[in-house]
Amino acid sequence: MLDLTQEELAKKVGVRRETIVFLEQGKYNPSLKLAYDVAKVLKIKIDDLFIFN
Amino acid sequence: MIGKAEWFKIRKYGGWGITPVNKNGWWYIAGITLPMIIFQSLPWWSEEIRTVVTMIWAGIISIDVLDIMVHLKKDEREVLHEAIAERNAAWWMVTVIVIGFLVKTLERAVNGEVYFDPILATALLGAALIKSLSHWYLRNK
Repeated sequence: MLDLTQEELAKKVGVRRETIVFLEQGKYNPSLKLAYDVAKVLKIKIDDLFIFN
Repeated sequence: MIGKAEWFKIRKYGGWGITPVNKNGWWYIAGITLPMIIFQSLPWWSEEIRTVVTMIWAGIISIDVLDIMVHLKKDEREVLHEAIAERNAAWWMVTVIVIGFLVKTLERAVNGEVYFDPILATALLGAALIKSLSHWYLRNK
């Protein structure tokens, strides 16, 4: 995984840092677009990044 | 316009509007309020001039604040949260207005009078129209 801070990742995908924090904590369900954007920045598949339950 | 969106954030916990996030925002507020306070405190204006200047000032500020609010950047989580919070607030307002409308109507009906408040009616009908238009716009977007 890339060595990115939450702030850097947030800037790259166009959201606030708090949104990345809540994503990491599993407290926010992202849109498909945001999930795709985060996976693209991190260069991994969406399936490997998010777990649907 | 005068103010910039990056100087402010949407007010979440203290009603509606915007609140400064940096000193530029506070300078903006000082810059728009102090001249008006000074103007109003000077004795040599007539009441008409005071009214006209105040209305022009309020109009410019309203347009500028609206422009700032439109250009504030919000991510999808903030948009979702704001939409839910605004919906809850709207439900509360509609509930209170409808109950108030019914109570007033019943009170007047007991005395054989018809109750009609154009402001409340405009608020309710306007809200229903805005809701319909919003759904129509979002469906076609």
